[in-house]
Amino acid sequence: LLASLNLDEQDFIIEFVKSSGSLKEMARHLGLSYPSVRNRLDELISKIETIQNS
Amino acid sequence: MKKLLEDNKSLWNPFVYIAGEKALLLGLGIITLSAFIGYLNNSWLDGILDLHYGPAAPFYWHLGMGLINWLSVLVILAPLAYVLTDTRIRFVDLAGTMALARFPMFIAVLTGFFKAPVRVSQDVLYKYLAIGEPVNVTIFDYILTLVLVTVMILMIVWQVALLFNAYKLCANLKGSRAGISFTAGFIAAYILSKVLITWLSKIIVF
Repeated sequence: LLASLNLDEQDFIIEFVKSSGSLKEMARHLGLSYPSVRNRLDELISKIETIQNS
Repeated sequence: MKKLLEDNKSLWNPFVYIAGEKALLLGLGIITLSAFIGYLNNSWLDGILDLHYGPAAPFYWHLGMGLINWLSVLVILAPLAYVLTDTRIRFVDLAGTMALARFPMFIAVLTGFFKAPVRVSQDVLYKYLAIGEPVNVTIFDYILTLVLVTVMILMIVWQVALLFNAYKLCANLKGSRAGISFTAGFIAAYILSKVLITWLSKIIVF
């Protein structure tokens, strides 16, 4: 499943784990706003669900 | 902050980089500063999209108008965002980004220091509608007025774009869902701001 994701998406997941799942922490680390990070997570979740269902 | 300053597209959507409490503090600062400038040069931000040269009024009135303009957008678009979104929203993101989206009106209110548009409108009223007295006006006044009106229109367009991007990003809405709901909400918010400010200006004595 993880191999189906592109490099940016895999990096995002690694950042998420390193931030202990804190979107606020991740936003601070990436220099982005909280809603930006949350929207990217939503898109990733949607993609993962699509891969799992196919 | 570094990324915000390096990205050209952040002019139209700085909220990719800044939202929440930071945006709220900055935005309220901008609203307060705009009110102070309006107090100094008698420019009234008497509606979300409006800027008029008006009579002298106390600072608290200008600040009140600024807060009404911000809150009118927030009380209409926030519930819409909560109803239409498929994700979790933080109210502070909506509040902060919509406050920060008032920045273009800070630029617009600075134009109130130039009195050429006042002279030009008095000249037009006298020459074409026989209202008022003759005014000493030069071609430079007309050119400057044209420039200032262009700046104001550009600031209004920029503000609407910022509000739309703030709404879209905070609620994670896309396509026609974002466009239609924002358009309807924005029109309602504009009417609300005009009604509130007009009503209050009649009952508050300066």
